[in-house]
Amino acid sequence: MMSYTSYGFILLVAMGLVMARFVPQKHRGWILLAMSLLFMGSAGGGYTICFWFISTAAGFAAAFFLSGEKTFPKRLVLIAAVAFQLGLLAYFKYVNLPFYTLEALGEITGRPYEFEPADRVSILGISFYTLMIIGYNVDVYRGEIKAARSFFQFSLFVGYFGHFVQGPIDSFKEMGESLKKPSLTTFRDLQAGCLRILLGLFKKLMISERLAVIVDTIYGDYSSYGGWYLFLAAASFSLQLYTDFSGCMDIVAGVSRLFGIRLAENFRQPYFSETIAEFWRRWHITLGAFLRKYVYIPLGGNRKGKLRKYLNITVVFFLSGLWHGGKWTFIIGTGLLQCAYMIAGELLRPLSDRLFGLLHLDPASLAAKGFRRLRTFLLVTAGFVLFRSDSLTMAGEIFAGMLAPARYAEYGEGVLYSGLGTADFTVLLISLVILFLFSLWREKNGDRPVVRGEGMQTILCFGITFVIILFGCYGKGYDMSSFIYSQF
Amino acid sequence: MRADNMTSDKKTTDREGIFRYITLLGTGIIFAGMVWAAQSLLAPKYMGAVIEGNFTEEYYQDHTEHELLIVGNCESYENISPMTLWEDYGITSYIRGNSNQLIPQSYYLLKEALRYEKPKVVLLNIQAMTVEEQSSEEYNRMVFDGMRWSEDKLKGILESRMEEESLVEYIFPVFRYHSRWSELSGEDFIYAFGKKPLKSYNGYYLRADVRPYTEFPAERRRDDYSFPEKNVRYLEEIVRLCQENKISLVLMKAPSMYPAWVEPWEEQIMEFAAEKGILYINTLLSMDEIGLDMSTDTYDEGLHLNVYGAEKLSSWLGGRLKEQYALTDFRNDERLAAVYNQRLEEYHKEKEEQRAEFEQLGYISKYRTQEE
Repeated sequence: MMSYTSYGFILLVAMGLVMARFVPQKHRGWILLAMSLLFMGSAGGGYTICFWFISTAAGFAAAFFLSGEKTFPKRLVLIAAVAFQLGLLAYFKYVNLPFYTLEALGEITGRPYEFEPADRVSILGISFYTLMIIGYNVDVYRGEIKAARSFFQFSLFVGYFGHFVQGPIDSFKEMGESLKKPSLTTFRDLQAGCLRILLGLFKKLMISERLAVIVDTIYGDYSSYGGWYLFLAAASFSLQLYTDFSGCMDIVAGVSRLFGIRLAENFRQPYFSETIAEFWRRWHITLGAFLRKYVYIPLGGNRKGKLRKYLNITVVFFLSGLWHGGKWTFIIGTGLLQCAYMIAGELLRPLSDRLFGLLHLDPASLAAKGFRRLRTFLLVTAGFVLFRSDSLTMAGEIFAGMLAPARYAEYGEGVLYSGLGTADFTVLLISLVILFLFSLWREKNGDRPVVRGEGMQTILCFGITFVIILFGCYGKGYDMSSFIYSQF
Repeated sequence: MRADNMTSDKKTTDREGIFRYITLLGTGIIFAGMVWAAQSLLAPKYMGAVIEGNFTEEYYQDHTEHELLIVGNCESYENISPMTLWEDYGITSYIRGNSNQLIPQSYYLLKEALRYEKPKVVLLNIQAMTVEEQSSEEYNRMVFDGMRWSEDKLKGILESRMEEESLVEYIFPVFRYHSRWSELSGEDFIYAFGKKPLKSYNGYYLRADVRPYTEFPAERRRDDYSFPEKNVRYLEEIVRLCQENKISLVLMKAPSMYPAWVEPWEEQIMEFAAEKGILYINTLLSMDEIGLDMSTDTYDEGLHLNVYGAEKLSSWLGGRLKEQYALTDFRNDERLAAVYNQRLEEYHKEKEEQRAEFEQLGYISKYRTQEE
């Protein structure tokens, strides 16, 4: 099965690049579509291709009726088109939600409810491309963009291998043309693309895979661990999720750059956020932007009073949580809990400002910033405990275990009984420090390269490749888990 | 003035371009060198308890021709001693065998060997006919890692690799062994770039310890005892290869007591051999004649022979093959005698050392880890 870190994907990209050199620019889109179909088939199988095609065809057809001066009720067409796309998504992802709801209620009331979840075929990328198609249809309806004239162009936009599996949730307005006719790539593009890919591989193979060992070891037997060991697992998962997801985004952005395509950015050093609101503007940016544009603002945004604003925020976060999966651990962990933080943060801001004043603390000082960043990280981490848990009960037990005295599984191995050996733990720590310093640089200098000059960047490329080949967690001997977000 | 500027710009661009490619090429070469060095360092050296990993590549260090080539799995390289064949009959022989070597793998190793030499006789141990697919990646690795790159190696890998094995990791072993960075030992550094000492005696695995035969648990009954279709196809290929090269093929079942060699398999091989006009020797039926005593001639309770058993079998087998195929006695050939006698001396020395150690300790320390 092909993934962004498989040898097959490297071969696919290499072949695509070679072919792109020999094909006129205006026809390069066909190469990208062929690559996308190969990737889709290999990574997701026949059902994925089949339902991608159905959704794409429906979105394309709907746009035809939504564009131009038509006499029939466009609004009705839009509702039907959106309902169709959401219906497919619900069929594959949310069929068990009512039963999970009963299960969650059972956990809360102490009356356990057991059921056998309905088994649905896994359709790769459906959560991402459904939103892209809906966004496209709404934009056409609003007259912000013209409907795609060719089915080829639209199907390439929806199925493009660079954002098909885990996003970013791109808009047709930004990407449609560049995909159809990718711009010519220069040596600098190739270099920048390679460095971006390597950054992604560094995050995924040097950090995320090692953190996964700690998380799986401790959460795999969470009742045997207690106190700060559970904090360690929770913090590790927050970092794992970030390095896994953003690492994937770096890989696809880098690969796209090799083909002259710019993808939307999905992360901007989220763990440097000082508030929850800021965090969600830096984390999974394209999902946030989608919900803001197509849900929050149409609902009235912050224009209709405070209460309505909070209600709108609640709806947005509920949908965000729901989008991650039809289980209440997702809905609460990445949705409602975050929403509660955000509203509470806004309500308590005057109090917090007054507290700073009373303590004669400068809110702009490094210590104050550090405190706020740590607070945000801990609050988000609490949400991710739910995100990682199989059930609300499990999450509750983990939270309770965190407050208990420190204990570990007696058979536990490795540093801090985390399952990770000394050598791997050392590599993990060094890699985390490197990533932190790099993120700090990005925070201060934006996209300005750390190393300037073509020659130095070439050396850096080869150097990082060598380090990843040697110390990366890949291949046999490591149980390389798939990218976490590919399941959504 | 403007023309001057344009010329100057062009020169700068040209210079940048040249600099760019020199940097790329230079760094690329250094990178390739570093990856190669890392690969050499990280690849297992098999100098300790598991020496079988060297057997495939040791073949290339032997520059003499062999009249008898023995091919097969552990039943070949642990049961027949080419040193005895030399000592008793002057037969030059070599074993191209590995742990759990599958029939397709034997075919490709044989095919490759025929590029270097033309033996008179090929002896194929047929126990692997019963094995459908590889049970562990390590066995495949031990067969192919030491094999020189050729079409035969590529086809052999594609034919026998396990589902989770990647061809890329055979082409670039560093991708497979990179995780060994945290467990490198002294021998990895010593033998990373230098020549490794020979661990086998013309492909023979010398064991002088004794563990008497005991009863093995009864094997699970199978619904179907037919040889897997792929093995039959490759056996046919081996026959064809030998015929094309005018080599006499001999099929043999070694006197290993486990896994059990059952009647349906015996019948299929006998039928095949009769149909093709090939000699088939089942040594399990001649154990008394060979003089094998499984209370003293096995080192692992009957799975394989130790050196004492292997010498008995080789002596018996050598006599039969020499007589039937008129194999040459090379003991008076100065060039060959010099090579073989030196190896024979080392063989006897190690055999004696192992015997003494086993007598004193009850085990042979260098194999202790493997057995534990």
